[in-house]
Amino acid sequence: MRRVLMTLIGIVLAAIPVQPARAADVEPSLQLEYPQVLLGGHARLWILDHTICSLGGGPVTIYLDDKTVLADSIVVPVKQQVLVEPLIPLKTTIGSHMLRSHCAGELGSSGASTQIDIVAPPTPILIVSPASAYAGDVVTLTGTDLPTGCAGNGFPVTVGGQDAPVLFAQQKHHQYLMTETFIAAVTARVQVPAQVHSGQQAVRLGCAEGVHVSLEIRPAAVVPPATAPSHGKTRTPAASSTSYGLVPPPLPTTHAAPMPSPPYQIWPVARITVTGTAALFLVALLVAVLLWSTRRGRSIRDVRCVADAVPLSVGPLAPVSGRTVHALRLRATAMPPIYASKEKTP
Amino acid sequence: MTTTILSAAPTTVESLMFSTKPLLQEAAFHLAATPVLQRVTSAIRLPNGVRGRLAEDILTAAASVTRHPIAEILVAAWRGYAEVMHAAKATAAHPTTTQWVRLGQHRAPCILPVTVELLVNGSHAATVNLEVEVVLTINTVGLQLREGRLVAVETGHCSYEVILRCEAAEVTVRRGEVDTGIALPLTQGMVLVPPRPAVA
Repeated sequence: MRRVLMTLIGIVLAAIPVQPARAADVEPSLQLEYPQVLLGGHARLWILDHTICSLGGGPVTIYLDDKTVLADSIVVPVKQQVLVEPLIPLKTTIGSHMLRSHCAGELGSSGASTQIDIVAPPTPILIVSPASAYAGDVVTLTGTDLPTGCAGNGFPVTVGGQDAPVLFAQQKHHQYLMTETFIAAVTARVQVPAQVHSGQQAVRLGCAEGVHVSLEIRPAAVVPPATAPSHGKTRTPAASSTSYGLVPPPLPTTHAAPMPSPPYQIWPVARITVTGTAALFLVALLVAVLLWSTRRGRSIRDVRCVADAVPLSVGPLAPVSGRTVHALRLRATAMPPIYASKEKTP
Repeated sequence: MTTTILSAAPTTVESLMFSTKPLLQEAAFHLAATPVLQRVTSAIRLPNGVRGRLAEDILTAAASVTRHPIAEILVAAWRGYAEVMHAAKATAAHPTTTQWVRLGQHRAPCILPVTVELLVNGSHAATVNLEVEVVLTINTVGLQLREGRLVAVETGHCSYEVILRCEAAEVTVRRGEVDTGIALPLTQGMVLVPPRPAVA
Protein backbone atom coordinates (compact mmCIF):
# COMPACT_ATOMS: atom_id res chain seq x y z
CA MET A 1 0.00 0.00 0.00
CA ARG A 2 2.81 2.35 0.90
CA ARG A 3 4.64 1.66 -2.33
CA VAL A 4 1.51 2.27 -4.34
CA LEU A 5 0.98 5.55 -2.51
CA MET A 6 4.57 6.67 -3.07
CA THR A 7 4.34 5.70 -6.72
CA LEU A 8 1.19 7.76 -7.15
CA ILE A 9 2.83 10.72 -5.43
CA GLY A 10 5.82 10.35 -7.72
CA ILE A 11 3.62 10.31 -10.81
CA VAL A 12 1.76 13.40 -9.68
CA LEU A 13 4.98 15.23 -8.87
CA ALA A 14 6.46 14.27 -12.19
CA ALA A 15 3.43 15.56 -14.03
CA ILE A 16 3.66 19.01 -12.47
CA PRO A 17 5.59 21.27 -14.83
CA VAL A 18 8.36 23.29 -13.28
CA GLN A 19 7.82 26.98 -13.81
CA PRO A 20 11.13 28.75 -14.15
CA ALA A 21 11.67 31.81 -12.09
CA ARG A 22 11.72 34.97 -14.12
CA ALA A 23 13.01 38.35 -13.29
CA ALA A 24 10.31 40.95 -13.24
CA ASP A 25 11.72 43.65 -15.40
CA VAL A 26 14.86 42.36 -17.03
CA GLU A 27 15.05 40.22 -20.07
CA PRO A 28 15.96 37.76 -21.31
CA SER A 29 15.17 35.33 -18.54
CA LEU A 30 17.40 32.38 -18.05
CA GLN A 31 17.38 29.63 -15.54
CA LEU A 32 20.17 27.36 -14.47
CA GLU A 33 18.52 24.10 -13.78
CA TYR A 34 21.07 22.45 -11.58
CA PRO A 35 22.12 24.27 -8.48
CA GLN A 36 25.61 22.94 -8.44
CA VAL A 37 27.56 21.88 -11.46
CA LEU A 38 30.70 20.09 -10.61
CA LEU A 39 33.97 20.36 -12.36
CA GLY A 40 33.61 19.30 -15.92
CA GLY A 41 29.90 18.90 -15.64
CA HIS A 42 27.11 20.43 -17.62
CA ALA A 43 24.49 23.00 -16.98
CA ARG A 44 21.17 23.47 -18.60
CA LEU A 45 20.37 27.04 -19.39
CA TRP A 46 16.80 27.46 -20.40
CA ILE A 47 16.39 30.53 -22.48
CA LEU A 48 12.78 31.57 -22.34
CA ASP A 49 10.70 34.02 -24.31
CA HIS A 50 13.55 36.04 -25.70
CA THR A 51 16.59 34.91 -27.48
CA ILE A 52 19.97 36.11 -26.44
CA CYS A 53 21.77 35.58 -29.67
CA SER A 54 21.32 35.78 -33.34
CA LEU A 55 19.13 33.79 -35.60
CA GLY A 56 22.01 33.14 -37.86
CA GLY A 57 23.90 31.14 -35.31
CA GLY A 58 26.69 33.59 -34.78
CA PRO A 59 29.06 33.34 -31.88
CA VAL A 60 27.46 33.88 -28.53
CA THR A 61 29.19 34.45 -25.24
CA ILE A 62 27.43 34.02 -21.94
CA TYR A 63 28.85 35.28 -18.70
CA LEU A 64 27.69 34.03 -15.34
CA ASP A 65 28.98 36.15 -12.52
CA ASP A 66 31.49 37.60 -14.94
CA LYS A 67 32.81 34.18 -15.80
CA THR A 68 32.49 32.84 -19.28
CA VAL A 69 30.28 29.79 -19.21
CA LEU A 70 29.71 29.44 -22.90
CA ALA A 71 31.77 30.63 -25.80
CA ASP A 72 30.75 28.81 -28.87
CA SER A 73 28.90 29.17 -32.08
CA ILE A 74 25.42 27.82 -31.56
CA VAL A 75 22.08 28.39 -33.13
CA VAL A 76 19.47 29.62 -30.73
CA PRO A 77 16.09 30.03 -32.35
CA VAL A 78 13.75 32.68 -31.07
CA LYS A 79 11.44 31.70 -28.26
CA GLN A 80 12.78 28.27 -27.75
CA GLN A 81 14.53 26.56 -24.96
CA VAL A 82 18.11 25.69 -25.56
CA LEU A 83 20.57 23.51 -23.83
CA VAL A 84 24.08 24.78 -23.57
CA GLU A 85 27.19 23.52 -21.94
CA PRO A 86 29.73 25.49 -20.01
CA LEU A 87 33.13 25.30 -21.55
CA ILE A 88 34.96 26.17 -18.38
CA PRO A 89 34.61 24.63 -14.95
CA LEU A 90 31.50 26.06 -13.41
CA LYS A 91 30.49 25.79 -9.83
CA THR A 92 27.53 27.68 -8.57
CA THR A 93 25.40 27.48 -5.52
CA ILE A 94 21.80 28.22 -4.81
CA GLY A 95 21.04 31.89 -5.12
CA SER A 96 20.79 34.62 -7.66
CA HIS A 97 23.45 35.22 -10.21
CA MET A 98 24.04 37.89 -12.77
CA LEU A 99 24.06 36.65 -16.28
CA ARG A 100 25.12 38.62 -19.30
CA SER A 101 25.23 37.62 -22.88
CA HIS A 102 27.05 38.96 -25.83
CA CYS A 103 26.06 38.05 -29.34
CA ALA A 104 27.59 38.78 -32.67
CA GLY A 105 24.52 38.28 -34.77
CA GLU A 106 21.85 40.52 -36.12
CA LEU A 107 18.99 40.14 -33.70
CA GLY A 108 20.84 39.45 -30.52
CA SER A 109 20.50 41.41 -27.36
CA SER A 110 24.16 42.15 -27.16
CA GLY A 111 25.43 42.91 -23.72
CA ALA A 112 22.07 42.30 -22.09
CA SER A 113 22.24 41.31 -18.47
CA THR A 114 19.68 39.64 -16.34
CA GLN A 115 19.20 38.18 -12.95
CA ILE A 116 18.76 34.43 -12.85
CA ASP A 117 17.54 32.34 -10.01
CA ILE A 118 18.89 28.95 -9.17
CA VAL A 119 16.25 26.36 -8.46
CA ALA A 120 16.61 24.33 -5.31
CA PRO A 121 17.56 20.71 -5.82
CA PRO A 122 14.89 18.07 -5.71
CA THR A 123 14.49 16.50 -2.34
CA PRO A 124 15.98 13.02 -2.15
CA ILE A 125 13.41 10.34 -1.67
CA LEU A 126 14.44 7.02 -0.27
CA ILE A 127 11.90 4.28 -0.45
CA VAL A 128 12.68 1.11 1.40
CA SER A 129 10.16 -1.62 1.05
CA PRO A 130 10.02 -3.65 3.19
CA ALA A 131 11.10 -1.43 6.01
CA SER A 132 14.77 -2.40 6.11
CA ALA A 133 17.56 -3.74 3.99
CA TYR A 134 20.23 -5.80 5.66
CA ALA A 135 23.90 -5.91 4.96
CA GLY A 136 24.52 -8.09 1.97
CA ASP A 137 21.11 -7.54 0.46
CA VAL A 138 21.06 -6.73 -3.20
CA VAL A 139 18.90 -3.69 -3.73
CA THR A 140 17.95 -1.61 -6.72
CA LEU A 141 18.59 2.11 -6.72
CA THR A 142 16.91 4.38 -9.19
CA GLY A 143 18.07 7.92 -9.72
CA THR A 144 16.45 10.41 -12.05
CA ASP A 145 17.30 13.83 -13.41
CA LEU A 146 21.01 13.29 -13.13
CA PRO A 147 23.49 15.74 -14.55
CA THR A 148 25.93 14.48 -17.08
CA GLY A 149 28.87 14.63 -14.74
CA CYS A 150 27.81 11.24 -13.49
CA ALA A 151 28.38 9.45 -16.76
CA GLY A 152 30.75 6.57 -16.31
CA ASN A 153 33.38 7.45 -13.76
CA GLY A 154 33.17 4.18 -11.94
CA PHE A 155 29.62 4.91 -10.91
CA PRO A 156 30.31 5.11 -7.18
CA VAL A 157 27.38 4.42 -4.92
CA THR A 158 27.34 4.91 -1.18
CA VAL A 159 24.60 3.76 1.12
CA GLY A 160 24.65 4.99 4.67
CA GLY A 161 28.02 6.61 4.09
CA GLN A 162 29.68 3.36 3.04
CA ASP A 163 30.66 2.28 -0.42
CA ALA A 164 28.14 -0.12 -1.89
CA PRO A 165 29.48 -2.57 -4.49
CA VAL A 166 27.73 -2.01 -7.81
CA LEU A 167 26.68 -5.25 -9.43
CA PHE A 168 24.82 -3.81 -12.36
CA ALA A 169 24.21 -0.31 -13.58
CA GLN A 170 22.14 1.03 -16.39
CA GLN A 171 22.06 4.59 -17.57
CA LYS A 172 19.43 6.04 -19.82
CA HIS A 173 20.53 9.04 -21.77
CA HIS A 174 18.49 11.75 -23.34
CA GLN A 175 19.62 13.39 -26.49
CA TYR A 176 19.18 17.12 -26.60
CA LEU A 177 19.84 19.25 -29.62
CA MET A 178 22.05 17.31 -31.97
CA THR A 179 25.10 16.15 -30.13
CA GLU A 180 24.52 16.73 -26.45
CA THR A 181 23.69 13.69 -24.39
CA PHE A 182 22.41 13.93 -20.87
CA ILE A 183 21.61 11.21 -18.43
CA ALA A 184 17.96 10.99 -17.63
CA ALA A 185 17.91 8.09 -15.24
CA VAL A 186 20.20 5.60 -13.63
CA THR A 187 19.32 2.22 -12.27
CA ALA A 188 21.91 0.45 -10.21
CA ARG A 189 21.79 -2.88 -8.45
CA VAL A 190 24.05 -2.62 -5.46
CA GLN A 191 24.89 -4.62 -2.40
CA VAL A 192 23.96 -2.88 0.80
CA PRO A 193 27.05 -2.57 3.04
CA ALA A 194 25.12 -1.89 6.21
CA GLN A 195 21.55 -2.00 7.39
CA VAL A 196 19.36 0.83 6.18
CA HIS A 197 15.87 1.69 7.21
CA SER A 198 12.98 3.28 5.47
CA GLY A 199 13.27 7.04 5.39
CA GLN A 200 17.03 7.21 5.54
CA GLN A 201 18.32 9.64 3.01
CA ALA A 202 21.84 8.41 2.77
CA VAL A 203 22.16 7.20 -0.77
CA ARG A 204 24.60 8.84 -3.13
CA LEU A 205 24.79 7.97 -6.78
CA GLY A 206 28.02 8.99 -8.42
CA CYS A 207 28.46 12.72 -8.26
CA ALA A 208 24.72 13.31 -8.14
CA GLU A 209 23.95 14.22 -4.61
CA GLY A 210 20.47 15.34 -3.94
CA VAL A 211 18.68 13.52 -6.69
CA HIS A 212 15.50 11.54 -6.66
CA VAL A 213 16.61 8.20 -5.35
CA SER A 214 14.45 5.25 -4.62
CA LEU A 215 15.72 2.16 -2.93
CA GLU A 216 13.84 -1.00 -3.53
CA ILE A 217 14.53 -4.30 -1.90
CA ARG A 218 15.49 -7.15 -4.15
CA PRO A 219 16.63 -9.83 -1.72
CA ALA A 220 19.41 -12.06 -2.91
CA ALA A 221 17.73 -14.98 -1.20
CA VAL A 222 17.75 -18.19 -3.15
CA VAL A 223 16.42 -20.98 -0.98
CA PRO A 224 14.74 -20.29 2.34
CA PRO A 225 15.47 -23.37 4.43
CA ALA A 226 12.65 -24.63 6.54
CA THR A 227 14.72 -24.70 9.72
CA ALA A 228 16.21 -21.25 9.38
CA PRO A 229 15.55 -18.76 12.17
CA SER A 230 13.05 -16.08 11.36
CA HIS A 231 13.36 -12.32 11.54
CA GLY A 232 9.67 -12.00 11.91
CA LYS A 233 9.20 -10.92 8.32
CA THR A 234 8.85 -12.77 5.09
CA ARG A 235 11.39 -12.38 2.33
CA THR A 236 10.23 -13.19 -1.12
CA PRO A 237 12.90 -14.31 -3.57
CA ALA A 238 12.92 -12.08 -6.61
CA ALA A 239 13.67 -13.51 -10.01
CA SER A 240 15.40 -10.34 -11.15
CA SER A 241 18.01 -10.63 -8.47
CA THR A 242 19.38 -13.80 -9.97
CA SER A 243 18.88 -13.02 -13.61
CA TYR A 244 22.43 -11.76 -13.95
CA GLY A 245 23.96 -14.48 -11.86
CA LEU A 246 25.19 -11.92 -9.39
CA VAL A 247 24.65 -13.30 -5.94
CA PRO A 248 27.71 -12.35 -3.93
CA PRO A 249 28.32 -13.38 -0.36
CA PRO A 250 27.10 -10.92 2.27
CA LEU A 251 29.42 -8.23 3.47
CA PRO A 252 30.37 -7.96 7.13
CA THR A 253 28.01 -5.69 8.97
CA THR A 254 29.07 -2.59 10.80
CA HIS A 255 26.36 -2.49 13.44
CA ALA A 256 27.06 -2.10 17.08
CA ALA A 257 24.70 -4.98 17.78
CA PRO A 258 25.45 -8.26 16.06
CA MET A 259 23.13 -9.01 13.17
CA PRO A 260 21.43 -12.38 13.15
CA SER A 261 22.16 -14.53 10.17
CA PRO A 262 19.72 -14.00 7.35
CA PRO A 263 16.83 -16.42 7.18
CA TYR A 264 17.90 -17.79 3.86
CA GLN A 265 20.81 -19.71 2.46
CA ILE A 266 22.97 -18.39 -0.29
CA TRP A 267 24.45 -20.86 -2.72
CA PRO A 268 23.18 -24.18 -1.43
CA VAL A 269 26.03 -26.59 -1.89
CA ALA A 270 25.66 -30.31 -2.06
CA ARG A 271 28.64 -31.88 -0.38
CA ILE A 272 29.93 -35.27 -1.31
CA THR A 273 32.26 -37.09 1.01
CA VAL A 274 34.63 -39.41 -0.74
CA THR A 275 36.93 -41.69 1.16
CA GLY A 276 40.51 -42.03 0.14
CA THR A 277 40.15 -45.57 -1.16
CA ALA A 278 37.13 -44.70 -3.25
CA ALA A 279 38.93 -41.67 -4.67
CA LEU A 280 41.92 -43.79 -5.69
CA PHE A 281 39.60 -46.30 -7.31
CA LEU A 282 37.79 -43.61 -9.25
CA VAL A 283 41.04 -42.06 -10.45
CA ALA A 284 42.38 -45.45 -11.56
CA LEU A 285 39.14 -46.19 -13.37
CA LEU A 286 39.24 -42.82 -15.10
CA VAL A 287 42.83 -43.32 -16.24
CA ALA A 288 42.00 -46.78 -17.55
CA VAL A 289 39.06 -45.48 -19.54
CA LEU A 290 41.16 -42.68 -21.00
CA LEU A 291 43.95 -45.05 -22.03
CA TRP A 292 41.48 -47.47 -23.56
CA SER A 293 39.75 -44.78 -25.58
CA THR A 294 43.07 -43.35 -26.76
CA ARG A 295 44.38 -46.67 -28.01
CA ARG A 296 41.23 -47.43 -29.92
CA GLY A 297 41.33 -44.29 -32.09
CA ARG A 298 38.84 -45.50 -34.58
CA SER A 299 36.66 -42.47 -34.84
CA ILE A 300 37.29 -38.80 -35.21
CA ARG A 301 35.96 -37.46 -31.98
CA ASP A 302 38.91 -35.36 -31.05
CA VAL A 303 37.90 -32.27 -32.95
CA ARG A 304 38.91 -29.60 -30.54
CA CYS A 305 39.65 -25.97 -30.78
CA VAL A 306 42.84 -24.97 -29.09
CA ALA A 307 43.71 -21.34 -28.76
CA ASP A 308 47.47 -21.08 -28.52
CA ALA A 309 49.39 -17.95 -27.89
CA VAL A 310 52.49 -19.17 -29.69
CA PRO A 311 52.52 -18.40 -33.41
CA LEU A 312 52.87 -21.43 -35.60
CA SER A 313 54.74 -21.79 -38.83
CA VAL A 314 52.60 -21.45 -41.89
CA GLY A 315 53.34 -24.10 -44.45
CA PRO A 316 51.85 -25.68 -47.54
CA LEU A 317 49.41 -28.50 -47.51
CA ALA A 318 50.77 -31.81 -46.38
CA PRO A 319 48.69 -34.60 -47.88
CA VAL A 320 48.07 -37.50 -45.61
CA SER A 321 46.93 -39.90 -48.22
CA GLY A 322 47.32 -43.51 -47.29
CA ARG A 323 46.95 -42.81 -43.62
CA THR A 324 43.90 -43.33 -41.54
CA VAL A 325 42.73 -40.21 -39.85
CA HIS A 326 42.31 -40.99 -36.21
CA ALA A 327 42.21 -37.56 -34.75
CA LEU A 328 41.76 -34.13 -36.26
CA ARG A 329 42.58 -31.13 -34.19
CA LEU A 330 42.29 -27.50 -35.07
CA ARG A 331 44.69 -25.08 -33.48
CA ALA A 332 43.85 -21.41 -33.93
CA THR A 333 46.38 -18.71 -33.33
CA ALA A 334 45.69 -15.01 -33.35
CA MET A 335 48.44 -12.63 -34.29
CA PRO A 336 48.63 -9.23 -32.62
CA PRO A 337 45.98 -6.87 -34.01
CA ILE A 338 47.07 -4.37 -36.60
CA TYR A 339 45.72 -0.90 -36.01
CA ALA A 340 45.71 1.39 -38.98
CA SER A 341 47.47 4.67 -38.88
CA LYS A 342 45.84 7.75 -37.45
CA GLU A 343 42.95 9.17 -39.35
CA LYS A 344 42.40 12.81 -39.95
CA THR A 345 41.50 14.67 -36.80
CA PRO A 346 37.78 15.42 -36.85
CA MET B 1 17.78 7.56 -26.23
CA THR B 2 20.89 5.55 -25.65
CA THR B 3 21.26 2.93 -22.98
CA THR B 4 24.59 2.36 -21.35
CA ILE B 5 25.17 -0.84 -19.44
CA LEU B 6 28.18 -1.00 -17.20
CA SER B 7 29.77 -4.14 -15.84
CA ALA B 8 28.27 -6.19 -18.64
CA ALA B 9 30.12 -8.66 -20.84
CA PRO B 10 32.45 -6.74 -23.14
CA THR B 11 31.62 -6.49 -26.81
CA THR B 12 34.23 -8.37 -28.80
CA VAL B 13 35.03 -8.92 -32.44
CA GLU B 14 33.75 -12.45 -32.02
CA SER B 15 30.38 -11.24 -30.76
CA LEU B 16 30.04 -8.92 -33.75
CA MET B 17 31.08 -11.59 -36.22
CA PHE B 18 29.52 -14.75 -34.85
CA SER B 19 26.87 -13.57 -32.45
CA THR B 20 24.54 -16.43 -33.29
CA LYS B 21 24.87 -19.98 -34.51
CA PRO B 22 23.11 -19.27 -37.83
CA LEU B 23 25.61 -16.50 -38.57
CA LEU B 24 28.46 -18.90 -37.91
CA GLN B 25 26.88 -21.53 -40.14
CA GLU B 26 26.30 -19.00 -42.89
CA ALA B 27 29.93 -17.93 -42.78
CA ALA B 28 31.00 -21.57 -42.73
CA PHE B 29 28.94 -22.20 -45.85
CA HIS B 30 30.81 -19.46 -47.69
CA LEU B 31 34.14 -20.57 -46.26
CA ALA B 32 33.60 -24.13 -47.45
CA ALA B 33 33.17 -22.82 -50.98
CA THR B 34 36.58 -21.13 -51.04
CA PRO B 35 39.35 -22.81 -53.03
CA VAL B 36 41.52 -23.13 -49.96
CA LEU B 37 39.00 -25.16 -48.04
CA GLN B 38 38.27 -27.32 -51.04
CA ARG B 39 41.97 -28.06 -51.38
CA VAL B 40 42.18 -28.90 -47.70
CA THR B 41 39.21 -31.20 -47.71
CA SER B 42 40.41 -33.00 -50.82
CA ALA B 43 43.94 -33.42 -49.50
CA ILE B 44 42.88 -34.74 -46.15
CA ARG B 45 40.68 -37.74 -46.64
CA LEU B 46 38.15 -37.00 -44.02
CA PRO B 47 34.97 -38.94 -43.47
CA ASN B 48 31.90 -37.28 -44.89
CA GLY B 49 30.47 -36.36 -41.52
CA VAL B 50 33.60 -34.51 -40.48
CA ARG B 51 34.24 -32.97 -43.88
CA GLY B 52 30.83 -31.34 -43.84
CA ARG B 53 31.47 -29.49 -40.65
CA LEU B 54 35.17 -28.74 -41.14
CA ALA B 55 34.53 -25.14 -42.17
CA GLU B 56 32.31 -24.59 -39.16
CA ASP B 57 34.94 -26.07 -36.86
CA ILE B 58 37.59 -23.84 -38.40
CA LEU B 59 35.45 -20.78 -37.78
CA THR B 60 34.68 -21.93 -34.26
CA ALA B 61 38.39 -22.26 -33.60
CA ALA B 62 39.04 -18.87 -35.17
CA ALA B 63 36.24 -17.29 -33.16
CA SER B 64 37.83 -18.54 -29.96
CA VAL B 65 40.87 -16.35 -30.57
CA THR B 66 39.05 -13.29 -31.88
CA ARG B 67 37.60 -12.23 -28.56
CA HIS B 68 39.34 -8.95 -28.97
CA PRO B 69 37.40 -6.25 -27.13
CA ILE B 70 35.94 -3.49 -29.25
CA ALA B 71 36.98 -1.14 -26.49
CA GLU B 72 40.66 -1.72 -27.28
CA ILE B 73 40.08 -0.88 -30.92
CA LEU B 74 38.30 2.33 -29.95
CA VAL B 75 40.92 3.32 -27.42
CA ALA B 76 43.72 2.51 -29.85
CA ALA B 77 42.11 4.81 -32.38
CA TRP B 78 41.53 7.57 -29.82
CA ARG B 79 45.15 7.31 -28.75
CA GLY B 80 46.02 8.44 -32.24
CA TYR B 81 44.46 11.85 -31.76
CA ALA B 82 46.70 14.52 -30.36
CA GLU B 83 43.83 16.24 -28.57
CA VAL B 84 42.95 13.12 -26.62
CA MET B 85 46.51 12.32 -25.64
CA HIS B 86 47.20 15.92 -24.72
CA ALA B 87 44.20 15.91 -22.39
CA ALA B 88 45.16 12.50 -21.00
CA LYS B 89 48.68 13.66 -20.22
CA ALA B 90 47.38 16.85 -18.68
CA THR B 91 44.99 14.99 -16.39
CA ALA B 92 47.67 12.45 -15.52
CA ALA B 93 49.96 15.28 -14.49
CA HIS B 94 47.19 16.95 -12.49
CA PRO B 95 45.02 14.18 -11.04
CA THR B 96 42.40 16.57 -9.68
CA THR B 97 41.48 17.87 -13.09
CA THR B 98 38.99 16.52 -15.57
CA GLN B 99 38.89 17.29 -19.25
CA TRP B 100 36.35 16.66 -21.96
CA VAL B 101 37.47 16.03 -25.51
CA ARG B 102 35.01 15.92 -28.35
CA LEU B 103 35.66 14.16 -31.59
CA GLY B 104 33.64 14.45 -34.73
CA GLN B 105 32.96 11.57 -37.05
CA HIS B 106 35.98 9.33 -37.25
CA ARG B 107 36.96 5.72 -37.90
CA ALA B 108 38.72 3.05 -35.87
CA PRO B 109 40.08 0.30 -38.13
CA CYS B 110 41.75 -2.90 -37.00
CA ILE B 111 42.89 -6.13 -38.63
CA LEU B 112 43.09 -9.40 -36.73
CA PRO B 113 45.14 -12.07 -38.51
CA VAL B 114 44.16 -15.58 -37.47
CA THR B 115 45.85 -18.83 -38.39
CA VAL B 116 44.07 -22.14 -38.01
CA GLU B 117 46.30 -25.19 -38.20
CA LEU B 118 44.88 -28.60 -38.92
CA LEU B 119 46.60 -31.42 -37.10
CA VAL B 120 45.88 -34.93 -38.33
CA ASN B 121 47.00 -37.67 -35.97
CA GLY B 122 49.00 -35.08 -34.14
CA SER B 123 51.01 -33.88 -37.14
CA HIS B 124 50.60 -30.76 -39.20
CA ALA B 125 48.44 -31.26 -42.27
CA ALA B 126 47.30 -27.84 -43.41
CA THR B 127 47.12 -24.21 -42.44
CA VAL B 128 44.23 -21.86 -43.15
CA ASN B 129 45.01 -18.17 -42.97
CA LEU B 130 42.08 -16.02 -42.00
CA GLU B 131 41.83 -12.29 -41.54
CA VAL B 132 39.17 -10.32 -39.70
CA GLU B 133 39.02 -6.66 -40.58
CA VAL B 134 37.02 -4.43 -38.26
CA VAL B 135 36.13 -0.87 -39.15
CA LEU B 136 34.25 1.14 -36.54
CA THR B 137 32.76 4.44 -37.65
CA ILE B 138 31.99 6.65 -34.70
CA ASN B 139 29.76 9.66 -34.84
CA THR B 140 30.32 12.58 -32.54
CA VAL B 141 31.62 11.39 -29.20
CA GLY B 142 32.68 13.13 -26.03
CA LEU B 143 35.46 11.63 -23.91
CA GLN B 144 35.95 12.53 -20.29
CA LEU B 145 39.50 12.06 -19.07
CA ARG B 146 40.74 11.99 -15.52
CA GLU B 147 44.08 10.88 -14.14
CA GLY B 148 45.11 9.83 -17.61
CA ARG B 149 42.14 7.49 -17.85
CA LEU B 150 39.07 7.49 -19.97
CA VAL B 151 36.32 7.60 -17.35
CA ALA B 152 33.20 8.61 -19.25
CA VAL B 153 31.89 8.68 -22.76
CA GLU B 154 29.00 10.64 -24.13
CA THR B 155 27.56 7.97 -26.31
CA GLY B 156 27.51 8.62 -29.99
CA HIS B 157 26.35 6.39 -32.78
CA CYS B 158 28.93 3.79 -33.70
CA SER B 159 28.51 1.55 -36.72
CA TYR B 160 30.73 -1.37 -37.53
CA GLU B 161 31.76 -3.39 -40.55
CA VAL B 162 33.47 -6.70 -39.98
CA ILE B 163 34.93 -8.49 -42.97
CA LEU B 164 36.13 -12.08 -42.78
CA ARG B 165 38.68 -13.08 -45.38
CA CYS B 166 40.31 -16.40 -46.12
CA GLU B 167 43.59 -16.18 -48.03
CA ALA B 168 42.58 -12.70 -49.25
CA ALA B 169 39.21 -13.96 -50.49
CA GLU B 170 36.22 -12.27 -48.87
CA VAL B 171 34.07 -14.79 -47.02
CA THR B 172 31.43 -12.73 -45.30
CA VAL B 173 30.69 -9.19 -44.17
CA ARG B 174 28.75 -8.08 -41.10
CA ARG B 175 27.40 -4.58 -40.61
CA GLY B 176 25.50 -3.04 -37.77
CA GLU B 177 25.66 -0.66 -34.88
CA VAL B 178 27.39 -1.09 -31.57
CA ASP B 179 26.69 0.79 -28.38
CA THR B 180 29.98 2.29 -27.26
CA GLY B 181 28.56 2.57 -23.78
CA ILE B 182 28.28 -1.19 -23.61
CA ALA B 183 31.57 -1.78 -25.33
CA LEU B 184 33.61 0.40 -23.02
CA PRO B 185 34.26 -0.96 -19.53
CA LEU B 186 34.52 2.35 -17.73
CA THR B 187 34.03 1.05 -14.22
CA GLN B 188 37.71 1.48 -13.45
CA GLY B 189 38.47 3.75 -16.35
CA MET B 190 40.61 2.87 -19.34
CA VAL B 191 44.23 3.88 -19.08
CA LEU B 192 45.42 6.17 -21.85
CA VAL B 193 48.42 7.57 -20.03
CA PRO B 194 49.80 5.95 -16.88
CA PRO B 195 49.62 8.26 -13.87
CA ARG B 196 52.79 10.02 -12.85
CA PRO B 197 54.47 8.18 -9.95
CA ALA B 198 54.32 9.97 -6.65
CA VAL B 199 57.46 11.84 -5.68
CA ALA B 200 58.92 10.54 -2.43
